[in-house]
This record gives sequence, structure tokens and C-alpha cells, in this order.
Amino acid sequence: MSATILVFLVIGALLTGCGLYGNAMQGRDVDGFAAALVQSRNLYLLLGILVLLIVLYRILYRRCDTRQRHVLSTAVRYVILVAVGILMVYPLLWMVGATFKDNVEIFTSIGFIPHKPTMEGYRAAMNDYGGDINIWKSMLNTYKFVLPRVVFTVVSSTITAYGFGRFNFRGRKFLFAVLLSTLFLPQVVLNIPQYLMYSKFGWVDSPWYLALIVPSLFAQETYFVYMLIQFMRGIPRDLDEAAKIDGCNIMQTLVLVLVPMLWPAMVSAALFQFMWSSNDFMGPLLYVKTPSNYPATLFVRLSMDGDAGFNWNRVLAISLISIIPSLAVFFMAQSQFMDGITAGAVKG
Amino acid sequence: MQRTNTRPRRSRLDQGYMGFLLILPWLVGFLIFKAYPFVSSLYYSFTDWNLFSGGSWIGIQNYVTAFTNPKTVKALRVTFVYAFMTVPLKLMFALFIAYILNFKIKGVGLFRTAYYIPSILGGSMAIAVLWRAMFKNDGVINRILTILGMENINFLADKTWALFIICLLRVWQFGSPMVLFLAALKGVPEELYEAASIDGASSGRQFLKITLPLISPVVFYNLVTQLVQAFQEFNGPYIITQGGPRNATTLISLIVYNSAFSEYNVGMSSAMAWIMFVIVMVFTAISFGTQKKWVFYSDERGDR
Amino acid sequence: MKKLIAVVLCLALALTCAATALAEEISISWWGGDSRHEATQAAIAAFEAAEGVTVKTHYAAWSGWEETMSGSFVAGNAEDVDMVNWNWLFSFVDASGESYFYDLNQLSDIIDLSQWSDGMLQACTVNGKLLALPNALTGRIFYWNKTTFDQAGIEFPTTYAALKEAGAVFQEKLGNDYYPLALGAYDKMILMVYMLESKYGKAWVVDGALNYTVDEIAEGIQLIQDLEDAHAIPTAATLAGDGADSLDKNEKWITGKYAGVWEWDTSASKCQNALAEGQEFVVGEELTDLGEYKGGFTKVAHGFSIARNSANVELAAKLINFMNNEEEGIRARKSEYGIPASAKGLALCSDEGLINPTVAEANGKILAWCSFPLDPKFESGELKNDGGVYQDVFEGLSYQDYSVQEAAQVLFDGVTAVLAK
Repeated sequence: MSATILVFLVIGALLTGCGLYGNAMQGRDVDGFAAALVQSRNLYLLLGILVLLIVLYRILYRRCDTRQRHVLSTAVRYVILVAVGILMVYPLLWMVGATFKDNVEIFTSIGFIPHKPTMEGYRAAMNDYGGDINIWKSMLNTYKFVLPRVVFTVVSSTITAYGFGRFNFRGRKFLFAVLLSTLFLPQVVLNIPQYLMYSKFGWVDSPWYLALIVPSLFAQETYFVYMLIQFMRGIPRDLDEAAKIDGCNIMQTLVLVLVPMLWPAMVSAALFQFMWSSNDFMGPLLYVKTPSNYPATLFVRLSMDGDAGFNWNRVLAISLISIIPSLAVFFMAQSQFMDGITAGAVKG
Repeated sequence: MQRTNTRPRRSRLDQGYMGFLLILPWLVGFLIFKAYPFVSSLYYSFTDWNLFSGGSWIGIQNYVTAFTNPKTVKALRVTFVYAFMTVPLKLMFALFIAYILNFKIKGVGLFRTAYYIPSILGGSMAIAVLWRAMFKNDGVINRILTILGMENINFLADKTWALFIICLLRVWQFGSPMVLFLAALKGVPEELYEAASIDGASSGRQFLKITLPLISPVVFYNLVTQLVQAFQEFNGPYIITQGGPRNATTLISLIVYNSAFSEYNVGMSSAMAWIMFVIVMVFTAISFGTQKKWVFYSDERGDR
Repeated sequence: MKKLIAVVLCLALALTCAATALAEEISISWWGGDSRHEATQAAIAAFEAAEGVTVKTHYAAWSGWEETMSGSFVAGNAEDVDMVNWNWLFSFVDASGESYFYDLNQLSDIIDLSQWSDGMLQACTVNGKLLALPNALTGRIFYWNKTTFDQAGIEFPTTYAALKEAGAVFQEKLGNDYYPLALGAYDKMILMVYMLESKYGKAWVVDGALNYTVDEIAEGIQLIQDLEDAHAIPTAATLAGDGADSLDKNEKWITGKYAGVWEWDTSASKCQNALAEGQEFVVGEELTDLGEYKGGFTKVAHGFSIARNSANVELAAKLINFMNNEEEGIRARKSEYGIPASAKGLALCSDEGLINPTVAEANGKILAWCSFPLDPKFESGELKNDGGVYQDVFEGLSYQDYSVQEAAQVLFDGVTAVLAK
């Protein structure tokens, strides 16, 4: 047993001892040092046990052979992973539980199981505003502009990435630098001039969501262009050359050779765009005015009037229903999604 | 990625214009949808432009105000503190979890998905309610502190802690850097560790001497993207603390938003946005400039 | 691809042209909660049936609404009839000094202006132009949680002194978490002005200049500070630590630990509805020991305007008149926009019992008491919003960043700067 371990063993034992002593003295009339121990008894106990566990782990680890060591370290990993996992998933569970709580309980309890479950939130979520709009219609509206936007973004970004990644033309370096710098543009500074411009085009309150869709035809989401360029760098150029020799023209090379290779990155770009656009609030807020065209993000806000007071279960129920498609798409496509974002950054 | 110096091999000259044609839609879109609004905002930043009544040229007055008004100076400082607190914490946490996940463990996919959920929820209303419930006076964290016999902390009202809980929100959403780290770790050849173990290197030394250099391109990528995000952070303070207490969480982006939409002062708002843009550009440039010193690309060492 | 874009662009243009070419269609915008949406939709349906026209609607909740509407007016695509906040009448002015709203005086043959009092019309008149017609007048008043006061064994306060004493009683009998009143920064500002006006009998701002000296303001701020010292109101830090962005969402209000609010009569119902079961909510009285004057102000809660570039101002005017002055419209809107400002609206709603009794009681007390005008810049964003002057002054005071005298100076300078713009 090494000296370090011994020191830690002593520290652990001391801390635990203090904790136990504090627990034993609890409720008795003590002062000075003992009083401090009683006050923080649980902290000492917790720290002590933690230190002892670590010491135990080290001792066991040294005594074990390779196979047992493996089992031991795997066990520790699982403990950490599960603990972190709970921290990560709990909010979603809480949100589900909260849709069944009333306002008082939402603000006064942190547990996720409702004491007096109520369906009021879901009932109120079905309000149809005199036939103008309801939650299902609003979700449909969301996908009316999200789907074209996803398709256009992927197609236009791929073409642009192809141009930047595979061709050498005059001004390429400069334009590429310009492209990169748009990554750092804060959207909030563009809002006002963009709004004035789009309203001159007559795109405000367009029933086809032109203000939300048209820019995606021009590969304006730099993040995806950049990601696809990075990915393309990892694809051997010899493939293009071979295709050219086989008589493919430039577009055929793209469609027949590069797209199959780029597919994972294109899928993840599509997924990202799908989730981001579905969550977008500022865009629809500025450019959609007719209630029957409201997408889900605006429908959620319909129920949040400050003067009348919020029904939180309803707000949360609507939010929950409206993120279900995003969650479902994420769960179904998660492995491609992960491969895609990874590929953009790692390959090349 | 990261090989920004990569140049496409010289194609036949007559193909050059094809490349330009391919990027033409982007260029047109850029000029209309990005460049024009952006240049107009640059112009506004030198005026006292009011959203309704317009304005006139006032030179660098807005920029002088930005660097002398105590409120904006504080916002600049807070933004830096926020970025330099959040980015390292988030990256370390992401790397730690990725390191644990990077062994032959069953259910890696499940954990990976679970860890990504907070990043999907983003800055929604539900998160704001939850976060405040965690950190309020008699919230979960303070109840735990009480059980442990420690002093309660008024997180939401304390000038130092408030910024920290905003930072924690983003650390908690560590999904995308974690996924990237995980992929990079998987790319480190197993044999290197085995060789090092035989030489008697401890796992700590192995991590520092083998793992970190080999994944440095991804560290670099994460660093740049997270810095950009952190300097532009808006949602966290906007939904949780509204910039309070005593402006302790008022980031530049909040000033940009407030001066445009509650004071209608488009000039000042644009100036602040430009300052933000320049800061982000400078840090990105610094990262790119220093990358040769600490980022190792496998192809540069010739073992590819 | 490019052909596609061209086609899309052409279609878009054609569509917008077609939309504007349709005659006898007007549009209207408003904000609010579900019940207001329903009531307005009902009023509009009745109007459509009566006039044989179509009305396009645009509505949502307040959050994000100001951003949307300011953009719409600047871009010139605002709806024909628009619900407006009172301070918009003063800030929505273009480069040549022209308002973005139509002068309603020119439509007096369609709208029966005599239904509004001269004072109300005056409040909405800027540079001789009547820019909006008010839906309701509103003011601040105390509301108490009677249940908690019963537990403490005291009556709810009707004087400033009693309020301070209640703080001590609450702390002693119920505990440190209990306060007779809770005030946010803006609430403190309005209450302070109320107390100053009660003492000095002069309006806060007169002819675009601050009408109080720094020393006088310091007196008012001292009164607020004394309330905090007497445990009558929670500190800013305590309130922030509750983790709620308004009092009606605050757990301590919901469960009765904070037993009073100082709220607009038009939005007090959210505080009432938030209370946990078994708590009794009552309208309070004005404080009588502050001075010899009746302090406080009423303001136009909101109103309806016509956009200046509306293509059909006559029809728009008919719609406004219909909602305010015609029986069908009044019955449909009930008191969803507050206690009706139009005389005919008020009479009909009172006769038919369409008014919430708590709101009516509070509104009656406020109109009978408050005597001072409100300065249009009192609510400007730089002063009132998060990060604004009021918040800086009263949070700085509570966090002890400012002494009373310093806080008074900061408030004086901040308000003077905004008034000078």
C-alpha cells in the first residue's frame, strides 16, 4: 500500500468519523467546534464516504488482474454515465410531468410526478381560435415551410460546396474568406434591414412563407456549406478524375460520384436544418401575420398573454406536442446525424 | 477539417468558370440577403438612426459611447468573463464524458442520445422555468446545501453566481462538442496506448502525451465554434435573468437587442453588433494564427 | 434552378398585387389572451355580417408584439386598424415629424367622438391630431390577500404608517418569509410618484420637464427605503431569488407569503387567478396619510388607431365605431379590453352586467381618486424596460450600490436625459 493511499485513507476515515460524531451529537446542546460538526454533519459524511470509496477502488484495482480491472473500471464508468444521464434527461421528464400539473404545483414542486394530475393543459391546448388555427394545423404550417427549406438548403449548399471544394477560379480564396466570415454575423443586426427589404419584395405575410424559404435557395446557411466543404475534402479527388475519364460532365460527376459519398453529411445537414427551422421563432414572428398561417412556435405564444396570466401546463403541453416530431426524427436518425456532424469536423 | 491551406489541385483552366457558375447563386444571395443588410447596419452604426424617424451621420459617436458608458463597458467585460468561463468548462466536461464513453461499453448509443437531449431543447421556455426552479432561494440546489449543512446561496440575485448559472446552462448542453470528441477519440489507434503501457506510462501521461495531441484538430474546431457561440450568446440570460441582477448577466447581445427594440436606437444597436462581430473575428483569427503551434495534423507529419 | 426562382418571384409579386386589389376588405390587429381573441372575433363577425365586408385579422400575445408592430409601421404594411399602446402615439413618428397614425378628427362623421370624455381625447391627441381612441382608462391600486392578513390578525393597511407596522407584525407573527406587500422596480417607481404627488400636489412632469428637485425625489425614495427597512416589502435580492419574472408567477404570492400587490386594474385578474385555493383576494384602499393631495395617475390602457397609409379609412373608422359605440360590438367585446372608455359602452356593459365586479370596483376607486396626468415618456423603453433607469435606481438602492441621495440623482439625470430627447 503506497503512502498516498494511506494518507487518503486517514483523511476519509477522519471525515466519516466527524460526520458520524455530528450525527450522534445532533439534538444535544453543544457549542464551539462540535456545533460546527453537527451543522455540517451530512457534508462530512458524504465527503468521507466518497474518499473511502475512491481509496477502496484504488486498493481493489491494484490487487486485481487485467480482466478484473476491466470489470471494475467498466462498473465505475457506468455509475458516472448513468448519473450524468439522469441529469441530462430529467428536464424532459419534468416537462412531461409538468404538463399534468396546475400552476401552483409547477412553481412549488420540483418532482416530476404530479400530485393532482389534471388534463386541463391538454384540453386548453386544443383551443381553435374560432376555426382560425389549432395546434395540428399550426404543426402542419410549420412543415409547410420547413420541408422546402430543408430540401432547398441541402441542394443549394451542396452545389455551392462543390464549387468551392472542387474548382479553382479567380477570386476563390477571397470569396471563401467572405463565406467563412458570414459564420460570425450576428443575425440580430441583420433583422431590421432584412425586414425592410423583404417587405419591399412583398414577402411579409406571404401565404407561401417566401421570406422564410427563398433565402435557402441561395445557400445562405453558411454552417452547412462549410460543413459540406470540409466533408468533401475527405473524398479522394481521384474519383472525380475517374468519372471525368468515363465521360461524365460536371453535374453528372456531382450527382453520380460525389453525392453518394456526401450522403451522410447531407443527411445531417438536413436534420439540423429541420430542427433549427422548426424551433425558429423570430422569423415567423416577423414574417407571418395571418393566424391561419401561424406555425407551431407562434401558436405556443398565442397562449402566453402577460395580462391574462399564463396557464403553464398548457404552454408546456403545446411545446411538448410541437417538439415531438423533432424528437422523433432525432431518435430515428440519430446515428446518421452523429456520423454527419462528426464527419464535417474530423475528416479531411 | 482544419486544413484551411488546402487548395484544390489545379483543374483544367476552362473549368474555372464552371466553379464560379456553381457558386453564383450563393454569391447573388449573399449580396442581396447578407451584404446589403450588413453594410446598411455598418452605415447605421455611424448615425443616430431611430427606427421610426431616421437619423443623421454622427461619426464615431456611438463607438465612443460604447467604450465609455459604464453600462456598455460592463456588458463588454461580462461578455468576456462569460465566454472565457463557459468555453473551457464546456469543452473539459465534453471531453471528460467522451473519454468515459470511449471504451467498449454497451449502450454507448443510448447514452450519447440521452446526452444530446438538452442540446435539442435549447433555450425554450420550459428550460427557463426549470433552471430557475433549480437555483431559486428554496430551490433544489439550496435544499441540498441545507441538508449538507452549508450556507444557502441566493444564486439568482447574487452578482457573481448569476452569471455562473447561465454558464452552467450552456455547459449542460455539451452535446455537440462531446459527439465530436468521441469520434476523434475513436480515431486514436489502440496500438499507441498499448505501446505506452508497456513503456510504463500512467494513464494520465498517456492522455496528455498521446490522446490530446492526436485529437488537437477537433479541440481546435470545438474551441472556435464554441467561442463564436459564446460571444453571441443571447437566449440564456434573456430567458433566465433578463440581464439582472444589477446587469451582472447583461451580455453585448442583450444590449444590441434592447437598444434596437425597446429604445428604437438602431444606430447604437448596430455599433454594438459590429463590436461583437469584430471581437469574434479577432478571436477566430487568433485561433487560426496560433494553430500551427499546438494543432497537429496527421498529414503534416507525413504518416498518412 | 434560376427559372424556378424567377417563377417563384413572379408568383409572389402577382399574389401580393392581387391581395391589395380586392376592395372592401380591411385588416385589423390586436394583442391579448384567448378570451380577448374570442371577444374580438365575435365583434368582427358581427361587423362583417352588418357591412357585408371581409376583415382580415392578425393577433397574438403581447410578448414579441411590439417588435412586430414597430417593423410593420416602419415598412408601411401595418393593418388598417391597429390596437396601440398609449406611448406608441408619441414614439411612432417619421423623419418629417409626421405620425404613422391617421388623424381620427377627420373621420368624426363616422366615429361618434362624443362618447369619449374630452380628457380622454386630449390624452390621445398629439400636435392637434387625434391618433387613437382609448379602449379603457387604467390606474394602479393595492390588492390584498385577505387570508394572510387574517392570519396575522390585522386589517389591511389604509395608511403608509399602517403598512410599515404591518411589516413588523408579519415578521413577528408569521415569519421572515412573509411580507404585506411585494413591489418590483417599476412598481416602486409608480408608488413613489404616487406618494410624492400626494405630498406636493404637483405632476411628475410638466411641459416636458421634470417637476421635482433631487431633494424632493430623495424624500420619495426614502419612503420606499423605509418600507424595505420595516420589512414591509422584500428586498430586490429576495425577489430575484424567488426565480419568477412577475409576481403572479411567484410561488410566494401564489401561496400567500406576499400578501399585497400594487397593480393596474386591467391586469390584476392574473394575480387573482394565480392564488392557490382558499385565498381571498380583495381590492384595497388608497393610502390617506401621505399628504393633503390625491396622488396617482390614470392612463389610457390602450386604444385603436388607423394606419396612415390605410387604403380604406372610412371602413376602418366604421369598424372602430362599431366595436366601441354600437350595441352588437359592445356586447361582443364585453370588458375584455378593460372597463369601456366609451360612455355608451360603459352604460350598456353596466346595465347588462358584462363587467367583472372586482375590476369594476378597482376602476371605480381609481377614477374617483387619481387626479394627475401621466407623461407620455414615463413608460419609454429606456426608463421602464429591463436594464432601464427605473430598474437601475431601485435595484441599486436595494443592493446598496446607491445611497438614497445617489439614487435620487441617478433617477433625476436619467429622466431628464430621456425627456430632453
